[in-house]
Amino acid sequence: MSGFGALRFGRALCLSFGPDLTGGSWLSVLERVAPVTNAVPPGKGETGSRAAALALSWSGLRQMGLEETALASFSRPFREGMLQEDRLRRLGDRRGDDWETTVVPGGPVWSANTPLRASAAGLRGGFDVPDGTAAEAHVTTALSVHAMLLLYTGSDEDASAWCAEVEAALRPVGVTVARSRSLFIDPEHPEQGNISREHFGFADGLSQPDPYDVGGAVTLDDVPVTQPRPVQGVPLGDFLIGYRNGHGEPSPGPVLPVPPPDDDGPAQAGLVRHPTAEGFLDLGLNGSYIVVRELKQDVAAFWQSMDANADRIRRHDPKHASHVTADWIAERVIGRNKDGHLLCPKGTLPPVNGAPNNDYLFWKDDRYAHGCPAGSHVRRANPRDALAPDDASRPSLLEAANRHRILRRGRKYGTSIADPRQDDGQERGLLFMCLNTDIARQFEFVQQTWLLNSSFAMLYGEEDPLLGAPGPMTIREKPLRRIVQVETYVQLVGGDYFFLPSLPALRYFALL
Amino acid sequence: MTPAVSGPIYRWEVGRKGQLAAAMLQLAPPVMALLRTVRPLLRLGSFWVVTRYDDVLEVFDTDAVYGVPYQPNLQVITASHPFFLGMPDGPEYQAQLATMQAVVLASDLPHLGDEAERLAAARIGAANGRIELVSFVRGVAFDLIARYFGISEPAPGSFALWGSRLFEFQFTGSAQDKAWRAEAEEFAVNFQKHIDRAIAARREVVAAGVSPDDVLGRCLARQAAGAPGYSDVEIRTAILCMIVGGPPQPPMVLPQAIEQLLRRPAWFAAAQQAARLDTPDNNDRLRAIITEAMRFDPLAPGFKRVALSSHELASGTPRARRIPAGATVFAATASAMMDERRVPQPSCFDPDRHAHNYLHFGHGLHECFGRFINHATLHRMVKPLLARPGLRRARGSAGRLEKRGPFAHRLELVFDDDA
Amino acid sequence: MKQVTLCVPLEVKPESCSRLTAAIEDLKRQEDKSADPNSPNFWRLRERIPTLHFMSISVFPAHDYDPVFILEANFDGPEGAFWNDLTAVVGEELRVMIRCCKRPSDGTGALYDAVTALASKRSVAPYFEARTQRPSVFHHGNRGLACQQILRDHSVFLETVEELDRRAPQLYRGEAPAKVHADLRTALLPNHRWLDDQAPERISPAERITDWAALTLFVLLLLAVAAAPGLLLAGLGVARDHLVAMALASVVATAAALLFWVRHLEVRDSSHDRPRQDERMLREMIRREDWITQNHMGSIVLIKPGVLRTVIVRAGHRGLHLALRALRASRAGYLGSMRTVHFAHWAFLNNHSRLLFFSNFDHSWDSYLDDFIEKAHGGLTLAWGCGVGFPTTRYLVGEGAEHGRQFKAWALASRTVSRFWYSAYPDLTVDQIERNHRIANGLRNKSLDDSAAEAWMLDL
Repeated sequence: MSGFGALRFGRALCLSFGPDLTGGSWLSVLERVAPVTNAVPPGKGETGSRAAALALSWSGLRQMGLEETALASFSRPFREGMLQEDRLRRLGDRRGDDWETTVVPGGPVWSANTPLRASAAGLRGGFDVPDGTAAEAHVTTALSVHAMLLLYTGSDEDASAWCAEVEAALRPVGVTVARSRSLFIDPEHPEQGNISREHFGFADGLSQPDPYDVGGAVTLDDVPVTQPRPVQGVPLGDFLIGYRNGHGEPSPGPVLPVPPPDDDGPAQAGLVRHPTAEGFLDLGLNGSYIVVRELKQDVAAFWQSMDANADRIRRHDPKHASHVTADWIAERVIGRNKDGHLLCPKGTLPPVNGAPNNDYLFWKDDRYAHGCPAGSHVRRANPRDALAPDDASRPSLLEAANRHRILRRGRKYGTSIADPRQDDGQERGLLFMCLNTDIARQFEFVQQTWLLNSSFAMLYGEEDPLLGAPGPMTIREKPLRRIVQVETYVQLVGGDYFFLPSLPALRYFALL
Repeated sequence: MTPAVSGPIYRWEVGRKGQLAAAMLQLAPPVMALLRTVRPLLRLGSFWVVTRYDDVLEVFDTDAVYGVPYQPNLQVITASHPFFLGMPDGPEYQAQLATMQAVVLASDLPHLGDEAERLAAARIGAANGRIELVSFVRGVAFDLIARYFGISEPAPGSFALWGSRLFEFQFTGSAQDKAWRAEAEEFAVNFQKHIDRAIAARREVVAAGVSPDDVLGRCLARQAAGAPGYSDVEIRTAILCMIVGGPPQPPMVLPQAIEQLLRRPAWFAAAQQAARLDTPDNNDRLRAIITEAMRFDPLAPGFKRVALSSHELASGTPRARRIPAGATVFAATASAMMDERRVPQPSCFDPDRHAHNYLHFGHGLHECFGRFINHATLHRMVKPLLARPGLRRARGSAGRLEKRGPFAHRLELVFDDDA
Repeated sequence: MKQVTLCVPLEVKPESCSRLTAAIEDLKRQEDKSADPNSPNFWRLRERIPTLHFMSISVFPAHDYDPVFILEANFDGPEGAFWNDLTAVVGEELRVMIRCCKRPSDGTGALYDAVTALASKRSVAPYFEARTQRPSVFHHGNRGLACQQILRDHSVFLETVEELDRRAPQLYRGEAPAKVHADLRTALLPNHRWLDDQAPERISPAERITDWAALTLFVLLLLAVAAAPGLLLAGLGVARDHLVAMALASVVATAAALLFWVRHLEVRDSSHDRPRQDERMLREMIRREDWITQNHMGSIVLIKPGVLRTVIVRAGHRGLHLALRALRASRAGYLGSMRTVHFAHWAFLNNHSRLLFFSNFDHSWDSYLDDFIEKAHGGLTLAWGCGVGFPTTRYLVGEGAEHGRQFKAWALASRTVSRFWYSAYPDLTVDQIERNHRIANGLRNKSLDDSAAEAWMLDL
């Protein structure tokens, strides 16, 4: 679960299996060059100068030979993949046969290329007639990614070197690096936490959920955190399989049938019995699902668009819009200023211990969104209590919002831009990654119901100004709101859903 | 002079009978409303009155059982030559319908609409601020259709007289009434001869190299090309029936509609507004207002049909009744258009109603052949009048619509003539 | 104008079920995209049935019964005119569907014969009327707004935005709120003359009084029934001088006894935590969802048997219905604290042995169910807890839908594909409709003072 914040550099490697690869022995090879690192809670020492994490796609597990029952026991989104056509529509990537403008032209470059589920559509019984509906489209990408390997290092040189070692070791066993992205963070004030600026220039990685667990699995300074903290408290089970989740039950995960007595592999790997599925081993416990979306950012387009909007607004309203600058609009697109302080009606929230305050609520001080716009990225990404219709329902709305939280582990890739208004032709962006145990209730909900919802918080025809389709964005001012026209600055390059196994599960996969 | 040259436009206009009948008909709407509720299928001997929307439609839609009773009277008018109005559905019906559809074209409609408006405007220009609406519309309607069909006015005699009297005979007369029948035959023979002469005259004109593009011209061209269904007698019969069946209707419904509008000043003003703003949208608006006004006083209270075989009407409902063969069934379209079970808020004047709320032109197989012409021309005939400033009722009883039997008799209007 | 919610369930001939499904799909294709690519989706229904808010046509397969066909509609009354308008547009298509259904054994069989006879031209409207099933509970998100009013309000909203941001962006900046209001009104009036008229009343005082009276009467009736045993005892001579006390004691005792009985049943109820989900059906449902702002769901569940259950289900539904008509929050469109429900519609089928649920809601099905789980689980458990296999409940309102995953799985398995589904305003949320209406109502005022105008401008 760790983001390995102390290791500021790294590589994201998209691994692709050759056609002949079977079994999990390649994992043993990987173990020798890049041992997957156990999660270390923050403040409990560091893992050294290198750390690695590995996540596998459903198509990857299938090719490695994981048995059918186990494959079928993963959650539906993971089994179907992110490029299933209905899912693409809900995620705002594709509608019918057309990719949206928020995807690179021609469609994503890489994904897990999860096969279509066996369809019963062809089966006909007596009296059956065709109903004329089209068959499901199989949306695929040029690159097939079967596993994501994340390498974290203290320097970029080390990352390059390590990457070369891994590549050399894996090639003979039929695993190639199909795509590589150099990751980095550059916190300006490491002592205040690892707050780094993303490419547009805004502090990123703020406002993460605070996991707690009634069973005592979460500790802070050796004290178990068994109660949710007021604003950001989210049960551990929403991020780690097998613990109590938002629905008040252990979050469900994949299982493995107990093997015949002569096969002691699973036992050796350390898999334990599943608590409710009799005769099954718990393949999911301590694992999680990780959503990966490679998002390309066009920094120059963003700032040029902010300039154009500021110009237009000042032109239309020369007397009362002198405060409307590109920065002013950009801050409202994000909902925070560049240093990460939340916008509020009186300016920005004061820092707490020098760092941005993340334990705020919206309803009481900024109900009408005169400070932080209702459609701003941060307010959409986590509305907290903002959607409450009245004072009395605030607690339940905050609780409801917290059932849809994700643990973000993204890092930026590419190089920083010299002049944000001048396109240098370099590719850069964010490798968005997040952990959740219920992809539909967490990541997909946030994307569909909050970020890309065109009628979020009583707005009309507006999507997230950063990630959504081009269109209007309302900024409330007294007495009359302003509307800016946002363009597409961020495009999906590739991505998919992966399973982040626990160490015992990973050891079991190596035995396949 | 013979009655075929001059005389009252309708027999109903002679004596007190017409006034009495008109007064009786005033009572029809409340009676029908009561019947719809308590006795939707009312039997009076072998005469059945059908008052609900659903059942009226079923009568029309079941044309194999409920045949048209027009044949006996029609034979008097056409000298026993067949016309599709009197026929049951079948190849012959469809063939004759097709010969008519080939010469009365949808593409003529815009021009017909403009022509109706032009003819009406010309008459209003000569009216000196006072107009009797029934004869005004009658003049426009017969003039318009005669020109369109390519038959000139008879002299002596008039289309308005011949057409109206034959219309009256066809729909309210009886072939058993010897005097009436003899009178109708005289009108019919005159009419037939006039059309025969017109056909002969036209043939000479065509031979001389002139070929006007009207219905008669098209019929003769098809005849020359050897198309079936266009013999001289068939052409004559068709034109005769069209002139008898069509133009007598606007002078009934339009004055009735205007009377209804005059009772509703806001809608009268809306109609005037639409008439003055001369755009296609406003033409549509005017038509909608007139059509809705007609619903409150339609052309006829209903249509008669004859049961050719025994049939259960409204089967599957509690009001189902078996209609015996030979019964006369009166499908009360006026009542159906006021049936609150199907027509939303029927007593409310609402020009935005859907087409299927209206049964002005009947429904099904024998739905009025002229409905498209009416659709294009009816509202245009009164449009120039409505556009006149200061249009209002004439003083006194002349400014109220008078009827004779089912027919509009007179309604005088005045307007400011200084424009 | 009163909004009517109803459905017509027809039992399907199993041999014709597939044909029926294909006929519904054909109708959907025919109406959704017409031959003219420039005309909007479903324009025939939109133009010719201006009173129609929502309509769906679906087939519910079942393990225990033959499939059932259900046409469900929400429209501004009266019903006869609606059926007439509908059959004028798609009457023949509906006749094909009726032919795929069984001849009813009750008194409507003859009508079935009449409308399904070979080459029958008989209108199908009377048949649908005769087979209409009234809801046991319904809720409307924008009660009292006619379909055409909703569309008119929206056109005012769109033109307001156009005016403020494109036509005259300079005009409205830096002006006092009252002047902004006045100027906007002047600009919009030519295209929306109706803004000069007073807003029609959404819920008439008579309706309001009737709603409250019905609810009060219902509560009194419940109390009377509960008090009856005590009064009976008093009548037999026990504590004859303490009638009131006896009545109260009886109410308390009856309530306690019932709760005990309920709990007794609950701990013996079986739940269906992992119902079998037909993959093909699931895919057909999902592929039709999330194309527009609104979505639709239809579900049928079996009702738990037993005397007490039967009484609770009927009384509970009646009470819930009356409460949803009378209480202020639900009149304002809230179901619990949810305001994403355009309508919710419960009805009993098969002699009260099955419960039908239909709803049109904003956003995705998952978010709708999450809303239920997170914000309205009590009421939902009360309404749906009578369903066979519903997650374990506690005293009728406890737990139940709080078992989020199980509840979702149970609800999903009870659903069917919404093959034909129409919404007159597919991109408007309940909230947006109210917002549009507030804007339009503000513009109906000839003038507003600055503070009222400023509050009104929050919606612009």
